[in-house]
Amino acid sequence: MAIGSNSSNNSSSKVKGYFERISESKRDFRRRLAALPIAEKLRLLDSLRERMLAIRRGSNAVATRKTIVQETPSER
Amino acid sequence: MAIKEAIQIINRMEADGVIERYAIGGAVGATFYLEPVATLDVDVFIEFRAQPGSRLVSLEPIFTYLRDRGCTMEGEHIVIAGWPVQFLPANSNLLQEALVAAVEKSVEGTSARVFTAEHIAAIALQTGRAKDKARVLQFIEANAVDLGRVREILTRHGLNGNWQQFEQQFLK
Repeated sequence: MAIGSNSSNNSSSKVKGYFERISESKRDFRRRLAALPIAEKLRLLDSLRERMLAIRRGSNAVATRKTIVQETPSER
Repeated sequence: MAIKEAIQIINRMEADGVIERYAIGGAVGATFYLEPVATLDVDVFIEFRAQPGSRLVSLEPIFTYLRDRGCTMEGEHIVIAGWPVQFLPANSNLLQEALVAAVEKSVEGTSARVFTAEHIAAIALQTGRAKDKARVLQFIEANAVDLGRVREILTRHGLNGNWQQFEQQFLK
């Protein structure tokens, strides 16, 4: 029992440590982005916007295709 | 860089007297202090002037000026250098104060006037949508605002309740 409990504690603290590292790494990345020269950050804004528009275009295309599929009469 | 080109055109509008003092706010304004925040448009706050002999304010001179320079309308935005820009009136005491206090920042030699971090945070608290509250949290986490100054601004504009609610929701 004690061994099982220790093993479970170890595994949960490993998982916790893993998530803490991810969290810290994200915070560090955000800090580094924030510290970039403003021109660089505005260039990133340009790219982010392009990406958002591409995703929207993609989502709209999928929605349109889905609608068409639903409207196609069954051949059976 | 498209957004820099948009800022240059807005600067030219100001120099040509089409708009009076302007300042960038919203997500683009916040990017001057934080990590880049994905956005689809640029919020430009301006002092609206009534037409001579009229008490009504009109955006028409702005649209005419920009249309003559090849810009197009897209809903309530005007597309400048590929970026939809929204010209918004500084129509509250808080926005007017933010416009007066706005600071000049240099973008590779191009001047851009931007709201201070504290005013962006105060305006976000006043607007109060989820994304605005997220922005205030970003400012606090990044230590990019002087919270004392934010509290002063909020007090001046009767927004202490907004702060208390935010504090209760996210900081306690």
